[in-house]
Amino acid sequence: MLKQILIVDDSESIREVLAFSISNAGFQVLVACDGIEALKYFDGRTIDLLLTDYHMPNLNGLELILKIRQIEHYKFIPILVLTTENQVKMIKEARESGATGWLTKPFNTEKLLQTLRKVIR
Amino acid sequence: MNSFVEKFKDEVNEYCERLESGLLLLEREPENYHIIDEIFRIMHSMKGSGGMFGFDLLSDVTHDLESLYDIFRSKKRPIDSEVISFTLSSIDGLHNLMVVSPGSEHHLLAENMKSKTKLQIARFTDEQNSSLSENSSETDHSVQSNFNQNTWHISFVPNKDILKNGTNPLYLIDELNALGECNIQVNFDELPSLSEMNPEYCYVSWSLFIATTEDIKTLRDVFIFVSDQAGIQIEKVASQNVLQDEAVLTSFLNAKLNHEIWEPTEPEMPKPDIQEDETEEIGVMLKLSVEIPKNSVFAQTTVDSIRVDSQKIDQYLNIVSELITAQSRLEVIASKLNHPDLEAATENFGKLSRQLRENAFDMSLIPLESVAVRFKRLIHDLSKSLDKEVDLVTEGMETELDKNIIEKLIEPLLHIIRNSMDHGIENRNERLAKQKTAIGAVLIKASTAGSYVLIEIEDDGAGLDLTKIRKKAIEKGIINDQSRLSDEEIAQLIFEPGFSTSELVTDMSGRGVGMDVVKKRIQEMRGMIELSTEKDRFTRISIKLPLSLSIIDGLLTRVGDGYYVIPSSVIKKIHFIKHESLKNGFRQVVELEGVQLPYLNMYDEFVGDGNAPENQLIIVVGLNNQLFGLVVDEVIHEYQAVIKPLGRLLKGQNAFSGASILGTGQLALVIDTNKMIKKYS
Repeated sequence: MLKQILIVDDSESIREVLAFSISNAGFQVLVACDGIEALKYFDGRTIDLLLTDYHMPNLNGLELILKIRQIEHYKFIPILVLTTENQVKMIKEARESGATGWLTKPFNTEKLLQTLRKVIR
Repeated sequence: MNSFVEKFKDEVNEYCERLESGLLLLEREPENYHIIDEIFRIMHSMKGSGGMFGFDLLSDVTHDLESLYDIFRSKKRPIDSEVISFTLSSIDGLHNLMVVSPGSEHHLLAENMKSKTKLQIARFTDEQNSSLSENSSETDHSVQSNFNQNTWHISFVPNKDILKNGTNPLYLIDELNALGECNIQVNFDELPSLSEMNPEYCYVSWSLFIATTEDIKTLRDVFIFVSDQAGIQIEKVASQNVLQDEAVLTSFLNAKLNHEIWEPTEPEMPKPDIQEDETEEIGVMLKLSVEIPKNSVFAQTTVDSIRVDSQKIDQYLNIVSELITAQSRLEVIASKLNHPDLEAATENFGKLSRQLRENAFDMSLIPLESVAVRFKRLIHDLSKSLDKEVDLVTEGMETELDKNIIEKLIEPLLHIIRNSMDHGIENRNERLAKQKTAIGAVLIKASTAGSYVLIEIEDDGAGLDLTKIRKKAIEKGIINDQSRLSDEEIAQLIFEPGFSTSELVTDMSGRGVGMDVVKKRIQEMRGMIELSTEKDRFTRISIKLPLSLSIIDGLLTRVGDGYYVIPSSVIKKIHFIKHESLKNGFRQVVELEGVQLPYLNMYDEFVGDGNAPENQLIIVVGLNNQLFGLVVDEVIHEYQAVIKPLGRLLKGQNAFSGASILGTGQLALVIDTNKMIKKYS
């Protein structure tokens, strides 16, 4: 069975770029445009990786992560946060909230897959 | 060697204190390069001497901290409050790393601290790093073309809770495996038995050799997501593939175990950068160690001073007080013999020994300044964790007190400050609503008054909630609901045993001791504690303490053929009194100047043969607004008593705080008026 990756970003273009590259790499892709919508996917189904933006309306990336880590079933799933440039403080906060790692924008496909490989096989 | 180690530990403690005070100052003046310099130097010294005395972990950690501060010292980037907070939080860790034979938890701590420091360094080097790493990768590229492979050793010790962030450490090992040829060892030593195992924890660590053409940056990047959750050490073993060379690998591991510096084996390679830095730093270190820190900004107390074991000071004081006693005895003998030469010599001897005593006494005094940094630290930490902004104002921190008193004073003071921060100071919004300044203030003020020191801790917070205190006291059965108490009396209830205002026991104030213990501690030192408060304005706690525990000013009195010393500080008045008038007294209360005064006839209590002299004196002592009379036979003179503790057999008694030896060789008991009043009133 293909591994399932949930992509959460409020920017449609980013969602599409990510979905394209990731599904080409052989993963099943789910998309959501903000934290609230993303949470709906965490209904017990298997999600092998969450890739989420940081700044989003309604429920931001950190809040989303905190919520997901509280759900027993998703306590240990890998979570990557999308950041722009190297925002050390943000990365730190994300780590403290339970993120596994981060992916710095802009990225190319190679960088993206390299990062994915750190947390999912 | 052991004594050196002890000295070094003392030194580290002092370093840490200096670090703390420096950092706190730096928080206010981030541009103060003197302090940054000093911090850098302290790190450097700790690193250097830490290595010498076998505290390799300490040395390792400070190495990184030093690099961090090098960035600010060289003014490459300005320091920020995150680094200051981080460094402050590291200080406790530095204390913990001072172990001669560290266990795995120490290693983990060290690794953890190091990776955190590296994270900090990374924050400040990112930009320059791009240029730096370009350089290094350039050299690395040339290396790659000349020699195809390097051998590295990587130690990867994940924190137990690494899984919590969704990290699978095996993937990282896989990733390394893909970068080159690996020789991997897994360490299961930490793995507990199945019954004790928490399946959510990671108990294994890895030690591996990798031969690869990749540079160290690539290797580090493998661990980029976990650098704050794992100890990661990457060291160069050789500038070629030596994976097949068991001897090299073994000797590398041995060197690591012995904490030796490993020189990468290399055919004709230039030394790697790290090593050059190392030698250069040693040079600097040697230079620094002979440099006297004259320009030291916040360590005035250490300049021109020598370090003496505090036990030696105690011994010295003890001997001096024995000498004083011997000298008074000599004086008595000399006056008996009536020999002019002997008298002159004795007089001179007396003068010198008094000087000696003053001098010795002076020596055991230390300024409050020496502990003020702990108050600052506490306030700093609490204001972060309670999210209340507070300014600490200190006054008179140069006031000196006996070091024994200061030691015993720290805990009570910290407790009072905790209370102020926890219950007193309101948070920003509440303050603004009360039209106060947004930032709260805690004032610690010390001053000397005669042979006493007055310390006041005042906060401009909410004041004591008297209604709540009253309610609580009724609940706890300290008073009943019929009790009519003045506001002042209600406020005093917080000193009652078993009283604790905090409704939910918070992490801070709920540390087991209440204000009753604080009061007890202060009274044990013959001190007094008072409280005043006004709603929404302030709470002030005043503590009055004797300068020294070992010497008091007192009045020497006689009762029967025994001598007693009453501390001058509590004496209000002395009256002549007829024994007759006391006999007729009712329930040990006598009327004096229109006031009903409870009293104790010491003759009846301590001699008790019914032959009390006709003419006696009543000494009125006052404590916490309470007056009490002590009836003695004779007042001899004022007397500066060197107090000696009472022996084991007298431990159970609770009327005397000690004894003093008079010039005649006789013994005088020093009355603890606090306890005396409690016992007899």
